[in-house]
Amino acid sequence: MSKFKRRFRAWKERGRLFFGRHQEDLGRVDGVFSQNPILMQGLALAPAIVATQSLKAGVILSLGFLGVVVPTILLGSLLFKKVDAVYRTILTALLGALLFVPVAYGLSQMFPFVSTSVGIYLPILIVDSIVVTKCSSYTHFGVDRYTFLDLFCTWLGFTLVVCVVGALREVLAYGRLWGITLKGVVPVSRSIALPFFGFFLIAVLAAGFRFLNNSFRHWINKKEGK
Amino acid sequence: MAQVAANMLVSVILAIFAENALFSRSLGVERTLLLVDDMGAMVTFGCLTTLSVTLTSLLTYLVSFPLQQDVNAYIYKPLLFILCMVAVYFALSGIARRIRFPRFVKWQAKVRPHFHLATFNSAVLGTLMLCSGQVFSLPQTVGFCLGSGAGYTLATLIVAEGQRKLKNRSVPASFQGLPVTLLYIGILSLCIYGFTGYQLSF
Amino acid sequence: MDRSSPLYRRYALSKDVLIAMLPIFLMNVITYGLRPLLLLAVSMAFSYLFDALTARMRQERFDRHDISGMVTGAILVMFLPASAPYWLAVVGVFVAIVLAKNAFGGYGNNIFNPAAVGGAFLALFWPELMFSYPLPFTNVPLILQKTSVLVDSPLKTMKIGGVPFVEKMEFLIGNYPGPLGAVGTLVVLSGAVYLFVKKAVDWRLPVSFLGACALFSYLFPRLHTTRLDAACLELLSGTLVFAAFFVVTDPITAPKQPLSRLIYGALFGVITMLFRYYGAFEMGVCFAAIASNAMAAFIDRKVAWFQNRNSGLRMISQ
Repeated sequence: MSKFKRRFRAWKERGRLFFGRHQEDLGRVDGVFSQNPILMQGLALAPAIVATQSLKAGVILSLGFLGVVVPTILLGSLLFKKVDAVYRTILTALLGALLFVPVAYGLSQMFPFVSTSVGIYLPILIVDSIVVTKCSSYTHFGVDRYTFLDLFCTWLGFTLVVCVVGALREVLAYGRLWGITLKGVVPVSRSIALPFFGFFLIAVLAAGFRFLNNSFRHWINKKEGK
Repeated sequence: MAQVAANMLVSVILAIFAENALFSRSLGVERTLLLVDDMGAMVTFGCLTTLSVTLTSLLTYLVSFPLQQDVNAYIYKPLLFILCMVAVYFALSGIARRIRFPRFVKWQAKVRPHFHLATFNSAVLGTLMLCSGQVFSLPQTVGFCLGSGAGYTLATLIVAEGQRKLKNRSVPASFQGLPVTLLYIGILSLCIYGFTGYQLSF
Repeated sequence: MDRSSPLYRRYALSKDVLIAMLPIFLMNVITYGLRPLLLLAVSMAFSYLFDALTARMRQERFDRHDISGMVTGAILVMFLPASAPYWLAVVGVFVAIVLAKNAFGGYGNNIFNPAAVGGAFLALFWPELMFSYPLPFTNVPLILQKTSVLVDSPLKTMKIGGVPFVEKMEFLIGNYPGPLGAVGTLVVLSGAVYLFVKKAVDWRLPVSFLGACALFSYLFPRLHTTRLDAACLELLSGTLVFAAFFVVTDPITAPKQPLSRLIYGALFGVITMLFRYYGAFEMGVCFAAIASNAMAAFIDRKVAWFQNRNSGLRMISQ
């Protein structure tokens, strides 16, 4: 076996042992990858499927998520911990709608055409299943420092998907990125902007993520020497 | 009167088929995926969503009427609409609590866990926001919301039917669950777009 | 190999369908030259390749004798014009084989007809390539030039209510611009006869499908001509007859019970006509296939329940 191959194998084994020992720590940041809200948990799907027609739309959605959804989940879990689940859903929806006002105002100053870029898909984040699911989870398990990390990773995972999907669709549908025409890039078809393609793309990405996640888990958990 | 009824009917049919909430706009898809294994819960959820969105549309039409010329309406509408949804939720819950028929009380106990989720979800808020963005009259708004709820219920039944078939298939491991269900919905969405042929506004 | 095994039946059916399509392939060569044959070869080769590659995705050993993917490729090409670029066929078979067939579990597990999904996808993505046709009996070059003349099919005229300037005899022999599967009703019927002789298809499906299409166009004609003429033109134009024998009769996606098949075929026909009349594109059968396939199992279940209920009532009354 060549020297390079031996070094590569040793390096790979060290990596496997490292990840194996730090599985618990990996679990704290799995909101980005193995517990990605869109691709793995199937939450916040509507904006990802329909509204991600450009990178700009992806960034707007990401900032909206950070400004509305993350504080709503956090405050909802803290303030409404002892409230019945039914009333908690109502109160978090009201809280989210209140937070939406300054966030939407700020976004409309940064991006003048927010309502045409993302339309109804920014406001519907207020009542998305991710808010109910995460609030229930945090009120049950309690809020600690890892909650902040989990929420941050969830936001990061959401951002990753909407921005990548938005960029890909903008390039393929219009031959542009961030509104700038790319030289030498021929647009494939405008139908890429249609929702059905969003369903296909998210389905394929979700399958890819699952495959990678399963392969990774299998790799770090396999017995040494095999 | 006939003209009004005709406009309303057209809105209903449009909302059920060409502008289906699930297949054309992906509204409520998360809730559909969560309930896809329970046909009964899905039908209940769909019917409650239809009821919520239709009744709320009456309030939201009145609320959004003065905001039509306001450039900042996009910012305030979600808050106003959610307040309307809260009002409708408590009104319906209050009325339901006063009805003492044993059968209705039994049904209400079964339905209660779903009612708040059926009222406060993306299918309801999204449909209301869409209606307020179009230049719809009141009958058209009510018709569109009714059709949207009915179309959503129908779509969830079709997805549940697909899920029943998918359970018995040897779907590849990476595609099991969410990916294959999204593919199934995507292919049906492809069919809807064969009818309309264009991007719907949102 | 045991003739009663499902695997043998699968191979036999695939072989029968390809043989039944031979007259259509031959007529395409006569009408357009060698280009359709090359398009077909590319489509079938890539469908076989995608099947082989995605067998790994299902963690199964690929069966080299399985040509069902090639049948899908052949049927998909029938929805394309002779002037379609080769990459269009490759994209179409990718969608058909990888997404519509193997992602659902491979042969026997797909819910939607893969060729129909591929055709619908291409129609939505590249309608300008899908619905422009070369004139019949012109030798379409293997590499298409920018100066090649492409025209609309009579279906486009029919979409706006006009009567096309094509005689019924020309529809029967395929002397009009259209997709490769619209090569002539007589040619398609000759292939269909072979399928019936080999008992590869159930007569209920194409008969109920064509019957529903004919009845719908007779009762609700969209063309400014007599009802009978309108019904004839609707049946003879496009890939309707081809779809009746090669898409509607797909044994995987069609219902299993005889009565269900009659209902399904009729429903398929009505939905096809609705798409033709009101849909965005002149081709309706691919989209109608998707809608109908989604309802096939439901129809089967309801018919079985109805029949069991009736037999239960009869037993009680006895």
